[in-house]
This record gives sequence, C-alpha cells and structure tokens, in this order.
Amino acid sequence: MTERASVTRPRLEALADRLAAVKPAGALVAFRVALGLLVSVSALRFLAYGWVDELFVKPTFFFTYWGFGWVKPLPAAGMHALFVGLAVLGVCFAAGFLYRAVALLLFVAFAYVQLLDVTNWLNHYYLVSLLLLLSATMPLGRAASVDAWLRPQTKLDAFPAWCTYLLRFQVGIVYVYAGLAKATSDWLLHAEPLNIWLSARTGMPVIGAIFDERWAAYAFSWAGFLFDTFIVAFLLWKRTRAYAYVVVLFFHAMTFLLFPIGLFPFIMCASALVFMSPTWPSTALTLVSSPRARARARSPLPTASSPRVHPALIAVAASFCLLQLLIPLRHHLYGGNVLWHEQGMRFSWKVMVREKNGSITYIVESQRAHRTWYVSPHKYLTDRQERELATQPDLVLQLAHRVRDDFHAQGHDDVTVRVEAIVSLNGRAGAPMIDPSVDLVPIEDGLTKASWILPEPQGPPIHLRPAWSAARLASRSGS
Amino acid sequence: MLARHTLSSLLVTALVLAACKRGGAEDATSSSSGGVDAGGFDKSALLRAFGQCALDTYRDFETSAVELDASAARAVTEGTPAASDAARESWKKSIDAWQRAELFGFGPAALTTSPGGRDLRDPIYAWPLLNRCVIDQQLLDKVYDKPELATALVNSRGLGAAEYLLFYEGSDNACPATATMNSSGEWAALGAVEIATRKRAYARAIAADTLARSHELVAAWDPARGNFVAKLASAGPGSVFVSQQMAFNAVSNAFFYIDDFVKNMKLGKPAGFNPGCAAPPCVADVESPWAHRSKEHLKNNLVGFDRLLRGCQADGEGLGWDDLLTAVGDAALAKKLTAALGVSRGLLDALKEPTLEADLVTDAAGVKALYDSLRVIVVLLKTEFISVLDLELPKRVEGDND
Repeated sequence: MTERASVTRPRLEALADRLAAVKPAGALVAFRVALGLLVSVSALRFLAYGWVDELFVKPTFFFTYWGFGWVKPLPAAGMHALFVGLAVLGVCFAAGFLYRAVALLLFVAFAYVQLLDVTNWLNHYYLVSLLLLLSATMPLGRAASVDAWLRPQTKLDAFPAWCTYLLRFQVGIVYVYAGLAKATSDWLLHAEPLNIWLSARTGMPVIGAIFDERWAAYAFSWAGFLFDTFIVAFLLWKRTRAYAYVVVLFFHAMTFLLFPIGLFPFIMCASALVFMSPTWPSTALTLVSSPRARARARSPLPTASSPRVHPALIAVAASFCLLQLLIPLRHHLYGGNVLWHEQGMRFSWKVMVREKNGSITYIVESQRAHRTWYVSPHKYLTDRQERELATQPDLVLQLAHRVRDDFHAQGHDDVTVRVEAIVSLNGRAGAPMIDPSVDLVPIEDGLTKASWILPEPQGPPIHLRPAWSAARLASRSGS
Repeated sequence: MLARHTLSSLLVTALVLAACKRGGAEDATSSSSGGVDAGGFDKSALLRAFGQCALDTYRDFETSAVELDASAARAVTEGTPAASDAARESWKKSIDAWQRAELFGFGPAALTTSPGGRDLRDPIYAWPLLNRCVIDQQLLDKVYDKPELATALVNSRGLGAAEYLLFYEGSDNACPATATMNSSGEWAALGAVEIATRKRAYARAIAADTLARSHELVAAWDPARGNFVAKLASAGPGSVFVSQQMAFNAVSNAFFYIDDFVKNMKLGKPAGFNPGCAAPPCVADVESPWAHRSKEHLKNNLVGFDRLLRGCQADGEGLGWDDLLTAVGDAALAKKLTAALGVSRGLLDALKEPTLEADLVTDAAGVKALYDSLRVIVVLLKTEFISVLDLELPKRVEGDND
C-alpha cells in the first residue's frame, strides 16, 4: 500500500508539474479573440435576421430540458436586450476586457438562451457553451488584452499548459465522437444520408455535377467519417499539424458551401486553433511585421512554470473530462438505434448524421363527450418547432401534456391523448415512432428507457440511384 | 519553419477556395439555362413543367374571369333573375378554375416574402379570410364605386366576397346591432331591393377587379411578358431562386396546401375533427356556405394536386413530382402518393349528397374516411417525400443548423 502510494505520488506530481508548465500565450489568445467575435457575430445574426422574435418571442409554447423547466424566456424587449448584451460581451471577451466576469457572464447568458427551448438545440451552440465555461476558468484575459493594458502587473506572456490541454480535450471529444457517430451501416455501407443530401444539390456550381453519382455519396460519407475520427490525432502530431489544419479548413469550407449550417464551420475552425503550436500567431506576425518586431518576436520562449495546480482542481477537471467522455456514450444504455429513439441523442456530438422527418397528429378522445379530436401540433408550434418535434419522442410527450392540459381546461378532464407519429429515417418508408395505443397523459418524462417508443424499422435506408441511369441507357439504346 | 508552411498552406487554401467560389458562380450563371444536370434527369425541365402548368391553370382561370366579368355586368344592367343566375354560374366556373390554381401558390401568387412573390393570391381569393360585416359596411358606403376597392382589405373582396354578394339573398347584415350602421338605422333604411341592387353592383366591381388580377397573374408567368416560367426553370445563382432546391421547395410548399387548407380547414374543421367545433358537425364552417360548392372545391383542389404530382396534361401525362421521385429511385413513393390520391378522390366522389353540408350530417363515416385518406397523403408528404427529395417543410424559419 505504502509502496503503491509512493509510486503514485511522483506520478501525480509529475502530472501537476506538466499541467503547470507554461506555453506561450499566442495560440490561446487567438482562440479567445476568435471565439468572442464568433459569439458576437452569432448574436448579431439573430438580431439582424429576426431570429430573436422567431425563436423566443413568437412561440407560445417552449420545450424545456429535463430538470430545467424553470427556465423561461424574457419578454420581447428583454430578449432583444439580451442578444445585444451577448454581442457586446462577445467583443469584451475577445478584447480581454474584465475578462473573468465577462467570460462567466457570457457563459451564463449563452447557456440561458440555449436552455429556453429544446427545439433550438444545436451541437455547436453546446460546444460554444462548454468552451465559454472552460475559458472562464482560465487566465486567457491576461495577455494581449485590455485588462493587461490597464493592469500591466497582471500581464502574462504565457499560460499554464492545462489550459491548452483542457481545450484540446474538449474540441477533440467533439471531433472523435462526431466521427464515431458515423460508424453506422447507414452512413458507411449505404452512404445515407449523404446520398439524399447530395442528390438534392446537383444544381450546385462545378461540383454539383458529381452529386448524382453514387460513389460521390460514398466518398463524402467515408471522408466525413475518417476526417472526424482521426483529424484530432493528426492535429496533435506536430509533424502533421499544419497539414491537418489545412484539411480542417477545407472540410469545413465544403460543409459551409454544401449545407445551411450557419456558423458551425467557423466555430470548428476557430476551435481547432487550440491544437496549433502555441507560437503560431507570433510566427505569423513576423511574416508581416518590421525587422524590429521580428527581433522582438525571436525573444526566448518563456520557460517558467505557473503555480502548481491544486490536486482538488485536477480532480474537478478530471471529473469534467470523465463526464464529457461518458455522456455521449449513455445512449448505449437504452439499446436500439439512438437516431430513431433519440434517448441519449443530445450532448453526444451526433452531428449531421441523419435525415429524419415526421408527421405528428395527436388523437384526443373523451369517452364522456363521445368525441375524437385530431390535434395538429401546428396549433401550438411554429413551423420550425413542429419539424423538430416530429422526430423527437420526448418533445412529443411534452406537447401531449400541453394538449391534455388544454382539454382539461375546457372541461374534458377524462381525455386520453394518443399520438400518430410516423417518421422516416434516412429515406426509409415512414413507420410509427410511438406506440399509437399508448395514452401519453399519465407518462412522465425521465431518464429511464421509454417503453412507449417503438423499435426502429428494419431494413436498409433508401438507395437513391443515379438519376442518369434511365436517360443514359435510353440514349445508349437509341444510338 | 513549420509555422511558415502552415501559413503558406492556409494562404493557398484560401486562394483556391476563393477561386472555386468565383469560378463556380460564373459557371453557374453561364449554365443556368442549360437545365440538364449531370444525372440526365432534367430538373430544370421539371421546374419549367411546373411553371407551364401554373400558367395554363391561371389562363383557364383568366378565361373564366372574363366570363364572370361580363355576366356580372349584365346582372347589373339587366337586373333580372336570369342575369343573376348567369352571374352565379359564371362565378362557379371561376371558382372551380381558381380552386385548381390554389395548389400553385408559388412565385407571383405567393406572399411577397417568398422568392418572386407578389401576393397575387389573396386579392383573388383570400379564404379563409372573409369578413361579412366589413363587406356589408362597404356595401353601405358604396366602396365598390370608389377606387378604394382595389386597396380594401382582402377579406372584403375577391371571389369569396363575390360568393356572398351573388348567392346570399337575405337583406340582413353580419355586423352587431351596436354597430353604427345598425344603431343609426342606415342599413335598415336601404331596403331589400336597394341592398340586392348594391350587391349586384359590388359583385360586378369585384368581378372586374378579379379579372384585372387574373390578367396580372397571367402576365407575370407569360413567356412574352413577366416570364416567371423561365425564372423558375432557370433557378440557380443570380436567379430569383438562387438554387434549384429553393425552387423545388417553393413548389413543395404550395403542394402542402393539401394539409392545412384542404385536410384541416376545409374538411376537419366543419367535421369537428379539429378543436374549435363545439357540437359536430359545424356546417357553418364549410368553405362555401352560400353557393354550397365546398365539395366541388375539394375536388378541384385534388385536381390541382394531381397536376403537380403526375403532370399537367390529360390523364396525368407530363412531368410532375412522380417523375422526379422515379428518377431518383423512389418509384414506390410515387405510386403510394398516386394511389393515396386516387383513394381520396374516390371517397370524395362516393359522398352522395349534393353538398358537403349534407354529407357532414348524413354520412359522417364517409367524411371521416375521406379525412383519414387525406391524412395518409399528408403523412407521406411530411415523411418520405420531404426526406427523399431533401425538401423542407413550408415556412421554416432559416437558421443555423448542424
């Protein structure tokens, strides 16, 4: 016991020393600036495109996260002010002004916005929330910042290595799990949903010409899988890092051109900066700056260590990492196909892995009134909310309870609420996602396996054949 | 050294991407009229077929609007029951043609917020927007004799208002007793004969306005004038529709008329399947309460749906959604949609009463079967159709995605 402890302690100390070692601040400063500006741009987009009203003011019903039902939207003016605040805070974050407070405030405000309505869920907003949370624990505002300018005594030229490691871990998790999420037969063996998505984009300039070809869907599917799964390894390896980042840029540029994914590519390109050499910004600056500045840039790298990280903080960080490792795996506890039942889908980095559409109709029956009503979700939801609802069983359940409450309020307190939920996954024929015989009224949402969700349909997804085959064969036979 | 490589790599990538984007845009502009994509299925031809079908349907309506305008004018000048009957018959032909056109709510007929939208649908037929009280008030004020009619609220003009004016022979009004027109006695002072005369005059003004709107709509699509047919067919960068997919989405959105309008509002609501009807059936909620043409409206809506689904020519010939589905390899879905539509049309024909109102009372099971068959179509559209063609459901707010 004593011997084991004596071996473990030096290892822990070595780990603590390694975490406390410093790295030049440049890369993480660049990351801070990029992240802050992207948050600002994102907030401004919401204001400019009217999304604040569409997503937070216009809806009369909001889907809540399990355990977060108490989070409610502000009045319209408050929501607009919040987004103006986000834009301002983003700039402050980028500039490193009142950094700690701003980072924390930014995280709270950004997370609050995400928690308002589940139908607004986006993986990359979750990533931004996590990056803001992590950034708030780091001294990223003490270099190349307004804070450092105002209080030179606090200025740092280097940051503790744990900052880089933690951010790399977080971004690495996203890529690797996004890659593993693609290790399915639909994605790798049937090239779905890429086949569907690319077939609809044959009108795209230049490369659209190949999108009707089946091999293109396979090539894109496998490229996406290999990229996501292995890019982190190449980014971590010094010899391949630069080339890997070029691939990152190319990959995300392609996704930006092909799909309406907003700021996602930019956020990932900015996030991947944490893998770059800590000195890359200063190296880049030397290429465009004066000889004197170049000489200054060649000054020796900092070698000192920051104060050793307290073991308790290491434990907290380790717990966070463990959670990030485990949470995306939790869907395995439910069995079945997570893309179908969606239990454990969120917070799991399953990014763009399915084409799923559904049709939902609530069937409300009252024995006493001898009536059957067919209630369209459209009565309660915006079009965007309705589309999200149609494929996510827990949201279907939440709205079922709202429908129940409405009928109760009208005096029909004996109603049952069943649902006809027909869903198509990756182009398969529509199949019932929820047991239509189950009354959803007494069912409560929770973390246990939902017995009211039916198993996914068997069989392969749709195989869209190249649209040219018939025409080309006809032309051949004609010639 | 490595960092320098990084920078130069980034620079090269940026230049390549920028060049690709520029080149792409130029290529697209030059090839946008070509139409045949790499696959050989001519998506542009399908969009052109949709556009041509819309134009043909609008031309049918324009022809009927000419007749309505003439007969409504005769009803005013002659003032005989026969002339009024003729005007009613002309209205039936016009509304029949328009109900077929209801499915073509893309391009100029669509809201101005849609690509190419000029909001030309509502001035012709704004249903379910119709306010009888506003019409009565305007009848009292003789708005139909003033230029203001052209800019009056859409709920007081168009074919919906014309139906009330031509078919409702009562001399009451729909405004509350406390309304000035009633409390002051102005309405009562008109008398039944004057009210009937004014109704004919109002209907005549609406018919003229509707004819003008039909000319406007046809002109917008006509290859010799607005040529929206070509704009739809040449969807791509620099066009009204910046991509073919956006154009297909617009047509698909219009296709979904069968959901909210046909299934829910025209049938589900009066049948009492949707909330809002306290004691079914709610026959007052039918689409055509004065001319009793609700069933014909449904039939003509399904004809319009069929034109988009199978093609605009006789017996479903010509390009339609089914051809695209077959081309991409989902002929099964094309067949399912065609079959489901056939079932709905059959069930509609099987309703034996002369009016939907009567069917709602005497054949609730038949109406329910029809409603269920429409649900089948809608489910197919919302699930497989949307998925396979990677379309979006109507009116989605744009946003980030991942």
